[in-house]
Amino acid sequence: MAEPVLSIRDLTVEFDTEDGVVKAVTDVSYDLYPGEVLGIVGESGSGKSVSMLTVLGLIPQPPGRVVRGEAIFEGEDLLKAPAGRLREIRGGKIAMIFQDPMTSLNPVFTIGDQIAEALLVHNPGMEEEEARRRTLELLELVGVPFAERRVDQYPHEFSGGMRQRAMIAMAIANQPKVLIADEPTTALDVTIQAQIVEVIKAAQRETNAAIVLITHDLGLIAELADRVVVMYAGRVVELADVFTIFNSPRHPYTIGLMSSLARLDADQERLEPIPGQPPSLISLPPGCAFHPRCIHSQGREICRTEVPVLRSLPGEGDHVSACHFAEELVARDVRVGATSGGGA
Amino acid sequence: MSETRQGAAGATAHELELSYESGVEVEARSQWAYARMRFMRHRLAVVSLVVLILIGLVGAFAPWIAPYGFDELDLDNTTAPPTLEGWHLFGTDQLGRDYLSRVIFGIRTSLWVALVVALLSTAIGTTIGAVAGYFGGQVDNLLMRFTDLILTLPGLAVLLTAAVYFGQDDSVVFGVTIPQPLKIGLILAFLFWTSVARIVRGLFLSLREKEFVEAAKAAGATDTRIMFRHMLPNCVGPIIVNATLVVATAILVEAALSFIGFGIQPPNAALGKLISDGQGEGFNLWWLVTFPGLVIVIIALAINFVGDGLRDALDPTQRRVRG
Repeated sequence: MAEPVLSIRDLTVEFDTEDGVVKAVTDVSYDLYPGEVLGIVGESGSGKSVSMLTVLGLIPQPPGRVVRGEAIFEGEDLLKAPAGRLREIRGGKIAMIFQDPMTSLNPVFTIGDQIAEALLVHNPGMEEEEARRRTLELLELVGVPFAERRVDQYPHEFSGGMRQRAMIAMAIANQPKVLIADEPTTALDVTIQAQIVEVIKAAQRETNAAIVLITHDLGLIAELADRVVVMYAGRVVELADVFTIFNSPRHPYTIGLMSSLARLDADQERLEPIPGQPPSLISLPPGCAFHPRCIHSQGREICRTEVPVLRSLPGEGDHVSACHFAEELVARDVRVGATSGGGA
Repeated sequence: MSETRQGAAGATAHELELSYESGVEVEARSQWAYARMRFMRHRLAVVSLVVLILIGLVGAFAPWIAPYGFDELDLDNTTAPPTLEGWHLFGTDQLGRDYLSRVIFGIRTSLWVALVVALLSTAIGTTIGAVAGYFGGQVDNLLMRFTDLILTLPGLAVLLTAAVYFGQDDSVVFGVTIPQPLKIGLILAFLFWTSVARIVRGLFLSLREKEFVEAAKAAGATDTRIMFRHMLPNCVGPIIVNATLVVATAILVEAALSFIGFGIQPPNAALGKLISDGQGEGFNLWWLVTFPGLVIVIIALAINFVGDGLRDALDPTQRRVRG
């Protein structure tokens, strides 16, 4: 495989709160390769977004704190980069699509002004006319009809789907190398979600950016992702290509996620939920954080005492899992449910 | 800024009749267009605005409009009551100066000072409030305690002291002459910025949690750019409304200050000064007090009505329209 465009190693982020130290992200490592879509899935609070926000220097510090780790982008550790350098990278080589297009656009500026601003900030010396021409191109690319006229409208004149298209246009304005999509479809209804998925695909074709897709929507993952990182309680518990994750998961949590997903291609009377609640990140259970909810641990000692390390599974290539008993988990005969819209 | 936006929105509104194939076309309006519509529905405010603009023009073009100079003496015709003869519509004072002309020049001075106060105090207050609200924490604490300090100063006493020590004549700073009325304006501005600062800080505290601010950060905008280009335009409504109220207060305070003799110094005519000059004569020369007094009341009322209208117009969450 090619050189990774973004390489995160041992990233550990904590937040100091009045109730104690929140271990938001612990020893997270993954690589992002050019042109791929890397999906990050997990429950709310599993650290999916925090890891990416940290890389961009967007977590508030304090109370946030990077304990250790590095994030290498084009040979440069972003966690050690000065604020000015990060600003250049943000919106330039690494751009972000936010979850809620209803609130992520400034209500007092026209859509065109906001996209043009993204261009002008990163291309000093660009003529206003040039920026406007490029803005129109971008709006057409993301499928905003009547771009010529829509460009001078305000966000409140746009529907949710159209706003998200505008946000995507803004994110790809500067031909980013990395595009972070933080739950890009969560705030949209299902039919619009499908359209946005197409727009994201088109955006990737246009820019050839590597996309980090943060979501808890496994349908979206199946639709878009090439590889999947599964996170639980601030740690990566499994990482594999999308077919492997859906067909033969090797971590009890991933298996639990799959069983709780409604599928069109299997006869299921009831969905199987994962028992219990995600742990508090202030007081994580000792050993494997998932053991209190795990149906495979069966009270075994090691699950309660030793934090499992992420290890590659013999004979399964790049498939890594953080379960002491990954080998015991038999492959399940399931197919990738390629419909978007199923929630985790 | 708003003009160009309106212009752009207007142009596309005409083109779009051709562009949509189906449905009844609703004319697209910018937020400014909506604000203007709401303001126009507020009849009292519209009338007040017209009155204000007229008074403002009279003040601005005083030397061309006033029938006489503000210190032109006519010793044969002193203390004349209002008369059509020689266009002494507001009468003349003890030195035979035409009172209409004096009032017109008074409007000029008073409005000018009030505008200086409004602009300067808004600029100071907005900057301090924006910085405090955006950065929060210690910065916020420091700036807001400073604001509290200014607020706790006994206003009149400070004004009098400052006016006596700094505000009695023109002064020259680095070769630039600062006219005495301007200095009174500066002193007032120094005391009047606190309310804007508090308003802007409050707005910024809530705005900085908005996602579009995070989006702007993620797009690589600098702090200054986020504060003044992204957040400040979201605050223009309250800031403008407050500025109009500052104008009204400034006119009244300046009049009071001039009345007790510490504001605008002769030979400049200011509305408060005219009243104080005339009050010695009591009701015998009633026009000397009545006309400048009426003008002050009209200006202050009109500004307050305009402020009211603007508040309704610029707050899109308030659908109710009075008038």
